[in-house]
Amino acid sequence: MINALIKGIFNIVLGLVNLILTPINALILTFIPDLGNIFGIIRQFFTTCFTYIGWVRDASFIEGYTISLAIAYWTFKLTAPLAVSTIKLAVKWYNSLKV
Amino acid sequence: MKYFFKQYWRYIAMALAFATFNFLINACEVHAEGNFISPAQFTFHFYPNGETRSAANCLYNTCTFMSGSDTTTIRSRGGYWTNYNTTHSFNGVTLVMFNGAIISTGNTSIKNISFLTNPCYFTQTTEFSYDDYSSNRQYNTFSAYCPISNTDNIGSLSIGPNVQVVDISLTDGINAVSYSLSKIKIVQDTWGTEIIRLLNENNGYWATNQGILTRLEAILRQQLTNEDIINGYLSTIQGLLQNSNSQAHSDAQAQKEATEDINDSINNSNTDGGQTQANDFFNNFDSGDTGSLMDLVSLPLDFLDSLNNTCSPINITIPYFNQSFQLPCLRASLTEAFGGVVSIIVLVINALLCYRLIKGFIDIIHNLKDPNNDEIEVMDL
Repeated sequence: MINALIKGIFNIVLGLVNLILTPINALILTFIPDLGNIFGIIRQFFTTCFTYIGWVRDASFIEGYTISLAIAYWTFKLTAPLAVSTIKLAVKWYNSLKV
Repeated sequence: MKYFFKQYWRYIAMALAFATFNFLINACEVHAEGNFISPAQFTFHFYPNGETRSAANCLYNTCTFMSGSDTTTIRSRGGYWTNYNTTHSFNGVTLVMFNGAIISTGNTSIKNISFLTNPCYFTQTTEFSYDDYSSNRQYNTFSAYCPISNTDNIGSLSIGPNVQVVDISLTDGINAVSYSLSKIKIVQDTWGTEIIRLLNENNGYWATNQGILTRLEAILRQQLTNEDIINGYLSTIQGLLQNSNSQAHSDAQAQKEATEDINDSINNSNTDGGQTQANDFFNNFDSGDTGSLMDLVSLPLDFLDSLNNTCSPINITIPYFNQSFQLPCLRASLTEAFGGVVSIIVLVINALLCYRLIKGFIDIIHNLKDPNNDEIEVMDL
């Protein structure tokens, strides 16, 4: 259930981003369609590259749990300091106002 | 080489020009065939009885078919028909049968002509022709069945080998008659039998001519045929209306079923399977046609998803040499070659990586514990 909930949150976020990008994308497709084609080619290039990631990961001897740990590390590194610093800032403002 | 390509394109241009010219020539030829008018074209008029016409009509591609068998008169003209009747039909169309001959005046080229059957249907052609050497004339006999129409021209026929149009006109004697229904009247004779009469301009009757009346009867039959055609159209229209009503009924039925389904869903208080449906909602959440921008935005997520891909051998084809080879999964190959040593190497590598990551965790937490540290590492990225 938790897994489905997280996936659902991701999908909702993607849907909202899609909602924002849809008119911009429509403008691009209408007035500069070649740019849209270039985006598609870039996406196709990376999609092709992603198909070989399994082979690269196997050749580099990296296990799945190491990758999971790396993802968790970067997620923590990108979110926890920001959250803690925000809390620290709020506490500092609170202390300043209290005085 | 440069000169070769220059000449090459020149040859291509010449070939295209020639092809275009040839196409235009062929198109003109086709056009000419469709409207070919032979110098020997004849236009024949069929008359129900012996109208006299100038022989000059035959000399300018127009000959007159005459009734009867007065060869003295016939030979001064181009042709004649001897009799007709309406006892034949073809595909429901009443036909008038003509037996006649085309008489040439010493022009032997007419001997080999053949009748085409548009729209008349010939049962006998000029293969039955014979020559009258004493009078230097040729008799090209024919028999034809021509459909009756409600105009004064009851049909046309063609004479080959070139396309030649033959008009068939109806007259009552000398004057041409337009066989509109207003001029046709059915009356009773002295024996009470219904007969067909033809009105003249003074609403009197033209002199009775059995041939005309017979053909008028055929015209009336044709009118009945047209009426049948109209009835056929009506039947078709009725069928279309029925189909339309059937479609409308189907649409209404589908709308009714859809409404009933909505009502059932609203009134359904059963919550069994709600969790599964919630999961399906999240799983099936479609971001839609995200377009080109969303393709780029979602690339990192695709990258994370691709990290779970299992290894599969890579097939590579070298261009121009058309040689392909396969890169096998390295770990499986090394394990097969070196056995457990590979597992030890994998373990060491992953242990070092995990150690580095965990140490990073500890460093981040250690920094967060420092109350005087306001650094936000995200901003340093």
